[in-house]
Amino acid sequence: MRFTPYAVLKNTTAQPLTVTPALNYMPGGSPVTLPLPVQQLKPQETRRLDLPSMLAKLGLGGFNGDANLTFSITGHGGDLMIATGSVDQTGNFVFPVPAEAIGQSFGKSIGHWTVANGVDTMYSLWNPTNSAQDFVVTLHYGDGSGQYVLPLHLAAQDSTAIDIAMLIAMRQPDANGNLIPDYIQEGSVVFSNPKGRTQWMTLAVCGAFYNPRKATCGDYCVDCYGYEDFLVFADPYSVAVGGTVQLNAQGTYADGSVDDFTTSSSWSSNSNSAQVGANTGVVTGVSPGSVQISAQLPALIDITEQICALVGGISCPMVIYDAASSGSSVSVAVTSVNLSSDQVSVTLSGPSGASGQLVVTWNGPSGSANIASATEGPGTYTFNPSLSGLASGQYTGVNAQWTVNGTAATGSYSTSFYVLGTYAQSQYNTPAESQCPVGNGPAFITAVPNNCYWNAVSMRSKFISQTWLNGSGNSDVSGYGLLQEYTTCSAPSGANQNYFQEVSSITPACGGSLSNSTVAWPSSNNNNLGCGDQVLIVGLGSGTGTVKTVNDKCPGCVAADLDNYNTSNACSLTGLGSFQTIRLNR
Amino acid sequence: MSSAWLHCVSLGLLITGVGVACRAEGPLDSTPPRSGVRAEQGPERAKGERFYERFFGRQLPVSTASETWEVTMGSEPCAQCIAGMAFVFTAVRKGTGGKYRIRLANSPVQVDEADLVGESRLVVFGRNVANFVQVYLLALPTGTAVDSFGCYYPSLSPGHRLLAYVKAFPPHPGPVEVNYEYISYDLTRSPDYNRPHFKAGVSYDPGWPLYPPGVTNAVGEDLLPQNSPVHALTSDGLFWLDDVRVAFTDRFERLARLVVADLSAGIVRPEVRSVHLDASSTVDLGRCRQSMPEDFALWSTEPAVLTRVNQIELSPDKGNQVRLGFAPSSCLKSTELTVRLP
Repeated sequence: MRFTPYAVLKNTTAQPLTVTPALNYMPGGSPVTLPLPVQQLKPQETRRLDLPSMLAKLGLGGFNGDANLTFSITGHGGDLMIATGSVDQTGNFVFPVPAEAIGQSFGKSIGHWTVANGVDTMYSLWNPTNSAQDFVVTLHYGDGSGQYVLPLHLAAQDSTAIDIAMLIAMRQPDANGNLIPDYIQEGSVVFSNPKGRTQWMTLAVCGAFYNPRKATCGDYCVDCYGYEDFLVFADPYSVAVGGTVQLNAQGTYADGSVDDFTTSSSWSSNSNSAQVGANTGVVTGVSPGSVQISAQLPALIDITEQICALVGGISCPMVIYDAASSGSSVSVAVTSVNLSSDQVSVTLSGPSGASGQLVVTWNGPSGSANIASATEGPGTYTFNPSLSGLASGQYTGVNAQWTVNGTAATGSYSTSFYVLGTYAQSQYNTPAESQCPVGNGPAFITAVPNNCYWNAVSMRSKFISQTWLNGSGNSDVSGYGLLQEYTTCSAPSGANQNYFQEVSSITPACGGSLSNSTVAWPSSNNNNLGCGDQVLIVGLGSGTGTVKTVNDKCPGCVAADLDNYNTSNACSLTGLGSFQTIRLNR
Repeated sequence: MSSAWLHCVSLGLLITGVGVACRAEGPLDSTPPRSGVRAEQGPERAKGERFYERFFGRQLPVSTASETWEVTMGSEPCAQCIAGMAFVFTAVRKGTGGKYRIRLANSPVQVDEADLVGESRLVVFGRNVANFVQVYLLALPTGTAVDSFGCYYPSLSPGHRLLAYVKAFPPHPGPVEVNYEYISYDLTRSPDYNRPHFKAGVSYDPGWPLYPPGVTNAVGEDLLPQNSPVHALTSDGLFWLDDVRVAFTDRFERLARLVVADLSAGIVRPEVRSVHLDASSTVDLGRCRQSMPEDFALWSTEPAVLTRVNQIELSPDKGNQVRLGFAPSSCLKSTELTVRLP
């Protein structure tokens, strides 16, 4: 049975179309390309080429073998429809050869091959370029148990054919030592560049099957290997104002692997709330709000059924995909910390709908101490942390962290205070203010000028006695209370060298004046306090507590004790209790 | 004799003639007298708690007992008393059942502790303000006032014979410095015996001076001009190592010392020795650089201020060593230190 080639062309356009045919074949193993007569097709004209005559004129009237026909036009894919193949002289047996547009692609695949039931599968491969190319033909087994890898080198314009049944029969192991097992009778095939699956190649592929016993045959669809499922992640995302977050662009290749196109994509933002690096995918938060970040991926081959979908159509199509992620730019700010009112305010900013875990902590002596932890959205929140439970030591501020979509926005507030611990709060005042049943007297204040100090011998015994009373006097002296020696080295005329001045108010050690808002501290054994310090006595009085100022010394106080000045006219001032005491402002 | 009941005042002149002013002095026996049983002072105290560290303003039950006496405390209204009530002790002599009522004249606001001194005296500790302690020494069974004075950080020897304390000063003395003077008092002796007599014409407060060297316990001696260098107690009181040795720690001009006074020859002739406590052996400034940044600049120049001794006792293993316990602090290497007895 002799087969002769045929070719039928149709100009699908409304314009004349010039078609330049050529014949490529491999006499003696080397490729030869011969021109065939140029065809001028009228609009919508269908023309059958007399290939036997054309071959005869080229001296190939007796040609026996495989040949490639090319038809070159200037136009678009689909302008020229081509039907080629070979047919026996009876016209009953046809080997159709689907036309394929020549162009660059990544890999190509054919979804099925079989050698079962007397069927054989053959591939005709042609390097249509003027440069040699290397390829890898990977035969995947139908049961997924393995693959057979066949390296292939085609010189410029070279053609070759692969007969699967013959390949199996040759029993030549591949580079990895694999043989196609006898029980494997079907599978799929991928043609690719050996340098990688995303490396370009130009290869014309034709796949066909035939059953010589049944005299049946057919062709396979050739698929372009490429990408699908383009996306930007994280999606959704969040970025802190002033912070950055890395977004990535990726695509899924036909073999299921995922490739990153972050740095090869062009990135853009649709809002001023966030900026994105043009080629980095790094998003920088600018102001709170919602923002969509888009990535335009580079031109990539899409997964398509190239041959079957478009007869005489286009090469593997290249597409430029866009992918985007919607997200938010968020911020958190600790807006105020007021210990005396026990209030910590935090403002969360972001688009409505943003939500995440808010954690507010003290920055204290043992690291972070919890203030609040809750899932919150944008808004202002005020917390009332427990001050009485704070561990003793230095605190330097408040930290807040709001985690939205896995990204943490942080804010802080600097405020220094020192938790002294639980202090006993005692009281003192002047004798005049102590309305004891035994009577009261004026207060006496001692003072010692420079270089002059107490000369007890010259001090009147009355004052000596009063010296010790400190406001809780004794009925046996007419005047009692604090006594302050007021001496001078040059006493006023008529006065003793050392004399004592009776005054009606107490002069605190730190200066100023005493009031219900002042305290004396154990100066001899407490180095955490000093004149001018403010202390918050948590739980004393109404509300959170009471803030008082240190302006007097209490050298006899034990370590954890504050003596509160008190203008109460009660005869005896007992203790106020023990309270958490905090040094404010430093 | 009611005029003798002045708070916190040197009463030597006022109570002359009270009691037996015996000047003869003999060695003290370090063995606690059998009658010196530690008093039961209301609810059990926290370990190591001193009565003057208790909350001021809450009167707890007070009682004490010995082989001879059982003493309990109550109160009755007193219009002339500072707290509007007077404390009344009931002393019952065991065996005979004799009952004696002792009204504490010039009662303080609060009584914290009462202890029997031998079988013939009762010492009562009270407070009118939070930290300043009033000491009342009464004769049994009559309740006659023997002596009364004020002080800080009183510490009774295990045998109840000796009292060590810090000399009284005004709790809020104004712009002066207080130089701590450490004093001892023999509760079995007369008020006159317990007043120094270094110089005629000088008034002295109750008790004989122990430390610092050179102090006399003269009235007002411990008040110095502002910014004068002064001694300050750095331990949580004074600690008796046995019945005749008392120890404490003191800081002066950035240096801390362990002071041990041996009173076995009597309070008039104490043998006092001290040893420097090197702050670097207990303080690690690196530890508090971050935990106390606000105060570090100040404290790094004076690391001794970072230590507070809360326990002093003889080393259980070696009698010639003293074990110091420190209040916990993030700046300390350890809360214990053992040093040779000075």
